[in-house]
Amino acid sequence: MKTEQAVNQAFEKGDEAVHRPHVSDARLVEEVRGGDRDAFRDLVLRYEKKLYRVIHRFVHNDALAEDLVQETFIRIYENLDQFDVSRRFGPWLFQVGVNLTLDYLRKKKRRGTTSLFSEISSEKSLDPGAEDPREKQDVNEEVRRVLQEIPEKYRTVLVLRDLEHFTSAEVAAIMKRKEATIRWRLAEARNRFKELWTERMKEANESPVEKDGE
Amino acid sequence: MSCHCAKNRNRLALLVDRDSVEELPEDIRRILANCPTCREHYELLCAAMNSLHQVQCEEAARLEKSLWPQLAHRLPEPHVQGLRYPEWKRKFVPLFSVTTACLALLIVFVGNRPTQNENRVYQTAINRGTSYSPLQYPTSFNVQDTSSHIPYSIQPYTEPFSQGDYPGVKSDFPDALEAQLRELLRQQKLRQGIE
Ligand SMILES: [Zn+2]
Repeated sequence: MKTEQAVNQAFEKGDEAVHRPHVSDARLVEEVRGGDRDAFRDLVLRYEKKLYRVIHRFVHNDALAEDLVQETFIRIYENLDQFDVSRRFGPWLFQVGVNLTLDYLRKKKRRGTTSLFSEISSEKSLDPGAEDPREKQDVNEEVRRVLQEIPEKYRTVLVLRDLEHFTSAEVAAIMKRKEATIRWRLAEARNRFKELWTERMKEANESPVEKDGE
Repeated sequence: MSCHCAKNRNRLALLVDRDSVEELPEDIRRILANCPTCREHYELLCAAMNSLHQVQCEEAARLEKSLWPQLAHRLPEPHVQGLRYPEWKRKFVPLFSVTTACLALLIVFVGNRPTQNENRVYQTAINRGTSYSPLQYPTSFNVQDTSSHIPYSIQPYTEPFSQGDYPGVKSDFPDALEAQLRELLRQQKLRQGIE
């Protein structure tokens, strides 16, 4: 069931663009603290792709995800003095990024502009002209919709663990919760997703008759 | 047979990402083989998670260009906040320490300077063997109390250095106090038959 991508290291860093891959994060953090801006560039290159992908999972908007990634790195830069280098840099970065994203979405939800988690256009997935409602795009939309119906604390675990393949320990570090709590939430999230997904599939199997009649 | 289907739900959910049923623990395999409810739940879980993983593969967004060029402009000025302070400390703290030590020595020296008039009634705390901080030199006195303990209440010295005096040593007694002291001195001399 696991894809090749799934086996990748969760805190996988960038790619060929990464400078000085042999230098540890802790060392780079120390260098930035010493006033070396290039060391911070190395940290950005190391993590920006993964961070962008994770944030994009929540906002589904390229420009917004880019803004949030930048904002995350700015926060990190500003608070680097307080970072304990004996701890891992990755979980801290993703913790800041995920919290910033969820805060943004919560505020947006409070203002009533959109539902939490995504900016799905409603007309897209309910396209009556689509020949096969299970076309890839539709499946993706459906999955997103179902995810949206799951409460945030479960959904976040599901995204980080099942979509981005962080380990339970890493999700625990990102969400500042005990690993046991994360495992419990993951089980709950998967069960809720399963219930909702099964319901959707049943509805989809029953609806083609209706569609044909239209 | 009896099966705790509700209890098994969470366990099954945590085992759903195993690649095959063979990888499941023995007791779970037995449950799946014997309980249709648990089996159905597990199969539907697998189907749902498959759809989720499909999205994971197809929908993963890619950052085409590095954000560093934009980010570099938005970062606050070179991260020297943490640097500036230690450097400042390194340069100036020794200088301040030496100056403070010199001042303290000067104050102690002045405080201990032997008085020419041995008949002085008032004494410094140092003369009486009472320790005090030079920065807490008393400014108010209680003359009535001439017993062995400290003859005045100690109040922190908060005023700047007084003009024409050594730093930290305060000599501007209130007029009434000075008059009282003169009177005491006069009476003492009278008793000794000097006058
Ligand atoms: Zn059962």
